[in-house]
Amino acid sequence: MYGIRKRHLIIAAFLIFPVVVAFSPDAVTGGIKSQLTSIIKIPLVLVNSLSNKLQDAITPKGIFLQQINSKDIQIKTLQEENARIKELFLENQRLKELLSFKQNLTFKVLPAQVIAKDPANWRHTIIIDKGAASGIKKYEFVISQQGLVGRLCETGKNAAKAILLTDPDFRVAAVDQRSREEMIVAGSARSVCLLKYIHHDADIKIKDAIVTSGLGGFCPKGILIGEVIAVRKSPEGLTEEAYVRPAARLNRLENVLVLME
Amino acid sequence: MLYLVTILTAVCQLTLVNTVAIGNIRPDLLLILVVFVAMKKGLMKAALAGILAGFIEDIFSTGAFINTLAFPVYGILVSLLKEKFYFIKEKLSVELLIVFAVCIVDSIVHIIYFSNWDYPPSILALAVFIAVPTVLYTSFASVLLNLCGLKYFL
Repeated sequence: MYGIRKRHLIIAAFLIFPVVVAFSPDAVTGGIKSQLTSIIKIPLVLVNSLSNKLQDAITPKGIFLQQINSKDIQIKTLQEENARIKELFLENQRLKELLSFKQNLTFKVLPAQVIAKDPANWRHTIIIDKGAASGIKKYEFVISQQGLVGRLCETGKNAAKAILLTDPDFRVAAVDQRSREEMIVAGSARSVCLLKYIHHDADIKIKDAIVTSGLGGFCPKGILIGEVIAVRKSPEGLTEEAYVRPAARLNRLENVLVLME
Repeated sequence: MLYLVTILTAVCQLTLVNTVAIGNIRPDLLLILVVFVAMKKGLMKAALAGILAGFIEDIFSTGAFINTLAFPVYGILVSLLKEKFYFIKEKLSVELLIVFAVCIVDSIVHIIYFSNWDYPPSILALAVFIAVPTVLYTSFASVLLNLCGLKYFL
């Protein structure tokens, strides 16, 4: 009897913690999240660099298979060296592209490395290795050489979290580059974004480029968001909505730039 | 050991699992871990592992602490079911079914959460493009992890 009661008490005590955490105000939990993200940054950086190397090693076709089949140690060594050079070449190429892109920009940017991605599939977020100590602030926008990536939603001391374009919580004012129609780009929780609140007779066509409009003051004007891939009537029938494929390769992000104020 | 495995699984979930993503869909290793702990270690440890796994998942995500609340509940429910029904045992097919069921419940919890937003995303899109692939991929991953012997590290 006592055992059962004790067990229930312990379970109740355990359940209080998540309830307290879940119903705490965002100001408190946001701070805890940012601090914990900063603390766990080092193992994440290590495992992430390992993971990137693994991914780059798999991508050049058949390197692993050749190594397994080959019995010659010399060939193996050369292949390993080749893979290493290839990895360095790929990294060099990525950084070069980012550097030349950075030089073309008119606003102040800070390069950062993506160290982790959202553990669940429901939200689309990334964690970068730069935080408030590097001068970045919440709500600043993140871009890659291809286009807009997302917006910072939490900033710790040495790491920050950004929601991606495709996250359901993401919104940015945008404009059609060809027809200058204004709209809101919103995340759809899928791999595409949704163009919302388009007037039913708006001039939006498939393959139109969508760029940021600069309205709202948070995001600079003219950053490429993506390309329209479909236009249809909204479920209510009063307006139209369109789908945009993001220009940035959101599932293969390694290096990004934070647009600083 | 249990906490260490949970933390290592969380690190894998945040980094290495991205290399096996199909589109944007990745298996939820932490959810699988909670189910395995519930099956093998019982109610108390399942609740603890659930709190830790859910808390980690929420820290590295954004928004409300849903998983911190939901994961221990999944752990407790699975271990209570195991205590109650004799046919729920540590068997590959049974564990696959339990992971499948827990994933469905988790998807429903998330869809309810999103549907309460001021500007909710399309529920149909969430169900078709996220919930179904996640349930299938996580269930498949649970079989692989079962065969790899993840349970024996718990």
